[in-house]
Formats: sequence, C-alpha cells, structure tokens
Amino acid sequence: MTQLGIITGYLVLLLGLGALAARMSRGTSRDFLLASHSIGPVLLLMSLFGTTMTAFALVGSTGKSYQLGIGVYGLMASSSGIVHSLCFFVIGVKLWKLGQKHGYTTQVEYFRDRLGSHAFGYLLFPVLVGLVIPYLLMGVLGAGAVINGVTQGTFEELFESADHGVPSWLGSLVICLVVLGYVFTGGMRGTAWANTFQTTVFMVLGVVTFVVIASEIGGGDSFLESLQGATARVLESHPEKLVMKPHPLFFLSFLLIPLSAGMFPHLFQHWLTARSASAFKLPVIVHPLFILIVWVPCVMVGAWATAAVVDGQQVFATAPKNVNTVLPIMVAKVAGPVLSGLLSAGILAAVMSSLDSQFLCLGTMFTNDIVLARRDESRQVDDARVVQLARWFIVAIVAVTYLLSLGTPAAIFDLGLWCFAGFSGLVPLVLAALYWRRLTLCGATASVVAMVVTWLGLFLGDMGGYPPDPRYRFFEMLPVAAIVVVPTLVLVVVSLLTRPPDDSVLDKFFPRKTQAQRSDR
Amino acid sequence: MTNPSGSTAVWRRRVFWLSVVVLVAVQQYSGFWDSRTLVLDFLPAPLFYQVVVSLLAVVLWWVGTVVAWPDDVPSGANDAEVGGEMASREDGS
Repeated sequence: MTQLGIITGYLVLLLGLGALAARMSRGTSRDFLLASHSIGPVLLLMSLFGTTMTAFALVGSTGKSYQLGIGVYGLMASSSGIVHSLCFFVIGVKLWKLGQKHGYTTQVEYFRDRLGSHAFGYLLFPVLVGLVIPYLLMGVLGAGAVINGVTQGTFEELFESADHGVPSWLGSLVICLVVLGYVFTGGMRGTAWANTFQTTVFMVLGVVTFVVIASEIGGGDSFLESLQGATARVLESHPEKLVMKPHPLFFLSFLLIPLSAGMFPHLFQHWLTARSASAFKLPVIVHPLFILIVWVPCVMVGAWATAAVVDGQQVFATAPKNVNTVLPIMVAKVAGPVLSGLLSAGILAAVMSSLDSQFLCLGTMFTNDIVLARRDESRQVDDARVVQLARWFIVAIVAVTYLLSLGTPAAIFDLGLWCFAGFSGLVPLVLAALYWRRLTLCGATASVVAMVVTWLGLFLGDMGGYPPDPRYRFFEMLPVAAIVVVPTLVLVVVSLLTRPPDDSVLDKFFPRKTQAQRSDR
Repeated sequence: MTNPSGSTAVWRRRVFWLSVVVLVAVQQYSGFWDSRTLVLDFLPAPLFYQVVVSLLAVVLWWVGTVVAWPDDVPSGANDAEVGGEMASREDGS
C-alpha cells in the first residue's frame, strides 16, 4: 500500500507541474504546441532523451535481457548511441532550420511544401498516426505492467487474477489520464518541463535501483563484491546469458532500428522547439552517454534476474507470465516499500516522458495537417478552437490505444521492433527530401506505399499472429532490413524515371551557392 | 580559435564522417561476443566492449559538433537571435 501511495503522490506532482506551466503560457496555439521555440540546450537534451527512452528502454530491455542475456545492449543501446545522434545531426538540425525559415510545425507540412503536393499529406498522415499507435501501446502496456508488478500481493481479497495487485488495465488507464491531464493543461512547455523532471527522476532512481538490486542479490560487503556476487550466480546457472551469439547479419540489421528516430513525429516537434541550432549540440554529444547510464543497469538486472535469490528463494523459479514484469518484480522483491514505491515512480517517469510528447504531437498533427490544412489564409483562426480540436483527437487516439492494450499483452521489445521498423522505412524519404534535389513526388509517394506494403506484408504474413515475434529472416536479417531497402530502391528508381521537380520548388530548399562559396571548396 | 581555411575544413569533415563509419564497424566487430572474461569480475567482456563503443560515440560526436557542424546553420550565440526573433513575431510582440 505504501508503494501505491508514493506512486499516487508522484502522479499528483506531475499534474501540478502541468498547471504551473499553464500559468506561464502565452495563450497562443503556437505556444501550446511548440513552446514558442524557446527551449534551450539542457531542456532540449532532457526532453529528447526522455522522449526516446520509453518503456522499451527500461521495462523492455530488462525483460529481453532476462530472455536473451547481455547481448541486448549491443543490439539496441550502443547502436542507438551512434544512430540517434546521427539523426539529430543530419536530420534534426536541417529540419529545425527549415522549420524556422518556413514556419513548419509538423512533418506533413514540410513534405507538402517540399514535394509541392497537398495530397501527399493525406497519404503520410495516416501512416504516421498508424505507426505512433503501437509506440503508444508500448508505453501504456509498460505502465500497467509496472504498477501491477510492484503492487502484487497488496490486496488480499481483491484482484486475484492480477496476483492481488493493481490490474494492468487499471494502472494503464490511470497513467493515460494523468498524462492527458498535464499535457492538456501545460501544452508543450508543460511537456518539456515534465520530461526534464521525469528524465532526471528516472535516471537518478535508475542508478539507485541498480545499486539496491545489486547489493541485495549480490550479497557482498562492498558494492563491487555485490556486483561480482550477482554476476557469479548467473555464471553458475545461466552462463549463456553473459555472452552474445547473434548471427552477424542479424546484429547488423539492428543498426536500422534506431534509425527510426529520424522520422518520429514527436521528435520532429521537439526539434522545432529549439531556441537555436547550437541547442542541438548538447543532445548530439551527451545522448550516447545517457543511453549507457540507463541501459547498462537494466540489461545487467535482466541477466541477474535469471539466477537471483532473495531470502533463500529464487525470484523467478518459473518464467514470469509477462516478461514486461521482470523489472518491477525485481524492484518489489529486493527493496522496502518506500524505496520500491520511489523506484516504481522512476520507471513510470520514463514511460510517461514518452507518452506525453506523443499525445501532444498527435493533436498537433491532426489540427495542422487535417483541420487547418485547407484553411482560408485571410480568415482569422480561432486559437481556442484549434487547441480544443487537438485535445479531442488526442483523446480519441488514446482511447483506441488503451482498448488495444486490453488484448493479449505483447512483449514490449518485440512490439517496439515492429513499430520502429516502420518509422525506419520512412527515413530514406526524409533524407532524400533534405539532401537529394532529384526526389520527385512520384518517387516519394511510391516509397511510402512500398514501405506500407512491405511492413504489412511481413507483419500479417507468416509472422505467427499478434503480436508476431520478429522471426522473419531475410538473409538472416530482421524485417526492418527489407522495410528500409525496398522503399529506398523504389524511391530512387521512380524518382529517376519521373520528371524532375521545378526549380522554383527546389530553390526554396536548396539555396544556390555563391561563386565565393564554390571556390572555397 | 581561428577558423580553418576552406580546404582544411573540408578535410576535417571528411575525416570525421570516415570516423563515424569506422565506429559503426567497431560496434559490429564480433571478436569479443563469446568471450567469458569478466571485467572487474562482474562485467561480461562483450558488454564492456559495447560500453566502450558508447563512450567513443560521445567523444566522436563532440568532435563532430566542432569540425562538421553544417555550414549553413549558425553555430554560435548569434543563432539564438533566429529563434528569439521567430518567437517574438509569433507572439505579435
């Protein structure tokens, strides 16, 4: 019950933060959606990191490490440290500059302008929303699993099917409502503040969690001895968890998963909040370090969990019903009620710091790309009405996601691989739009269609029901390899076969170099 | 710090991007994958290797922001004015 009290207190604190941000609001839709481009390097770093570190990073990585061992870090974390920063560098900064110059708020606005086609937006919008839903689903499932995991055994008479803890459906529902609450009141400023606060919370408490778990299950006199003790148990009973054994091509294909950050709609919106281009430097540099700080403890805890013994009993004598509960159960078993409550709040902080950006981004996309897309420029837009519409669309999407979460609980890691693969399949499009003058509307359209067809074909094909495990191998690689390669080839071939774009459009995005600049090279 | 000449800057950029490719290759190197060595008797060698890759990434991206920051994006304090100007315009101030 103590854990529940602490988690509740934390959620109330977040709602208060949203209310405080609302008092700072300038009252415009631009302020609600982009915080008036006022976010500096530190807030940008924390909000970008908080947004990209989801339930996938904490709950998913621990669960997957429990299943596969420490190789999970190489598969996802070290590659993300390289590829995420690469995306910030070559896509984020460039899009920020174009957003500043032309006033874009969403990806669809940029692509409509770049390709000279309004209709293209109606193709891209549902694809992006369709891919954000499984991303949201990861957070919603993760939140429910965490709350259930740490409260198991709390209610002696109630919730038997949830091991007498708060059922996942109820935990997920409460988290959705709280995040909706502070996003609605605080807008982008509230979201950036909450992200910064929550990123700090989950990083600090993450390290505390690691120390507490290591000390408890390692049993040494010093911290180092505890670490050695915890690993020694794994070495005795599950030595295979301490090595990596993926096929090299399978490992290579994992490099394409973090590429998805280049097309996350919520990251695009965060990029546009930057006060200046130099605000990107800190996130570019520090992002790999932050990933390390979060992932190494999670991966080690997952591996340790396979052999962990507390009070003379194996923590997981049998594999857990839901692998997403490995981390919260470890926390609940080794920490006292107060610390367990705090640590759980830290895990929830990571989950919510992604959900909030995604919620807000969906509202922005709906109002800008659909509702206001054909507006008469000469007519005054009712700002309050715009914000209201954004909120209703967010509620509708969250409701759909929540209902999906009530189905079979997916392993968050596997769900993430599919979701991220779709976004990765759109990255060739944004790279071509930014750096290749020869990209045509037909090439871009064919590329998006090719991505959707490839993704659906692999997902619904011989994948084994919902949610399918990524069992598919194409030359030993993950589905993401085909989902990136096919749209890329289609984009290049169709663009080269169709009429080049007009110079009037290109001049807007590719300024001609002066004689002096050319001779400088 | 003086600005490097045009050709020096171009070479620095090329070396930087080549280093990124090398880092990716280093991340993919499988030589330590099945090593049973424990660094400090607790950290598996394959994991330690990938941690070093993450730290190298930090250093490399720091170098990148110095030598390969995009030409057409202001990198100093001046560019704050771009954002500030935009924000003021949107507020109508």
